[in-house]
Amino acid sequence: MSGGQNPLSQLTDEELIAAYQRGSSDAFDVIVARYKHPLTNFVYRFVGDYDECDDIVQETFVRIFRKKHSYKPRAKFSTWIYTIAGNLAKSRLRQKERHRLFSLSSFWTGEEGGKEIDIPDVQYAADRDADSALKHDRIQKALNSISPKYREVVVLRDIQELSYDEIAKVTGLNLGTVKSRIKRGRTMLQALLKDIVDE
Amino acid sequence: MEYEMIDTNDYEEERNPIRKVLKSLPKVHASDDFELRLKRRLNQGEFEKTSLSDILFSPKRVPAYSLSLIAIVMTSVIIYYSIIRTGVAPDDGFPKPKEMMREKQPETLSVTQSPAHVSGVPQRKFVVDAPKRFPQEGQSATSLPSKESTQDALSKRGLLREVGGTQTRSTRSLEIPELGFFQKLQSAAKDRWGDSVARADSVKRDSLKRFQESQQKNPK
Repeated sequence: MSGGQNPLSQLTDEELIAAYQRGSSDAFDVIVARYKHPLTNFVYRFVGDYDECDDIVQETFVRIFRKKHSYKPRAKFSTWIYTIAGNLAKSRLRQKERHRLFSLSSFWTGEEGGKEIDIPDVQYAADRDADSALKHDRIQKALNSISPKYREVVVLRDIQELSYDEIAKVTGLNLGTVKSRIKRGRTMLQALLKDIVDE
Repeated sequence: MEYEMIDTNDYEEERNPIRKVLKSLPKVHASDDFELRLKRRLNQGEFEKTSLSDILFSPKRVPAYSLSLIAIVMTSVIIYYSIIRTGVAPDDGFPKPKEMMREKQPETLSVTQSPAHVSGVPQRKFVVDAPKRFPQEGQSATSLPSKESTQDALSKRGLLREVGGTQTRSTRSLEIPELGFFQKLQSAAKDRWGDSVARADSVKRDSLKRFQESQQKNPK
């Protein structure tokens, strides 16, 4: 399924999806290779759990596989794929909220809400030193503690580096709301990570 | 409104400390076997082609179907017993007054009104719908065990029914079943106390006889 040497890898996202809609399964492989890492990064920073993140990203590609004809060329393909992944992530978070179990770790540490962070597999973070690892864990924990509506837009803007227009299309919000939520999310994170920010 | 005027100067935004902190986070990647697992997942999905029957009878819908069926059955039972079967009393073996009136053609005893009671009025014919134990049709009313005249006795109890005329309230109140019921009570009382009544009568007669004898022996 690798798309590295494939001539299709030279095509744009829109051309790839058009080829896939015409029946080219290789085009789908290239799409998967191109978006699996960015989507994993986005969804992990949004939901904070690696297993959930993996499942959500897999489901995103399954949806694209089955509903390829629902994509219309008037929007960017990246907007479409991020929209699917974001909606699945939000649904999963809502489900988790409804079925939230008592967390033993919060009992032992005295933290409220029992919000755990799932540290991703170290095999792709092997170059981090211990201090960096702790710092990154704290940042992820701070992200997990703010509301999902602020978290989503902050991750899309500051981590995935999407434009404001793209974020507005992905989230379905208007531009002003996107900017407002990003500002508010950053303010909350700044309060939580004051010592890290001052370094 | 949720948003306010925000300065979106890219230069200033790039210098935002939180943005710098978040950008410093390492990128999280998909696992090495991601595509293999995805392919397996897609292949599994292809074999599970959903048909209409799969959609209608999927495991998710089973609880809804079973609950619906239970609700329908319970509603039907409640409607049946509360509306359809209303008024049907269980048969307890005792004769029903209405059944007695409707089903049987009771023996009638014709009782004619004596001219002494109503003068100047043509004779009116009354009938008493009596059960078979009563004197049969054509028999004399005087054969009734009651000492008072039959007509008086029956009219006292409102048991006379005028034949051929309009029913008055009093005749409408004639309830032959009451007669039958009265007869039942009478016979039941007689069965229970018949012997003791006879004994009391004989005791009474004996004491009266003795009193009379004593009076004859010792007249005052």
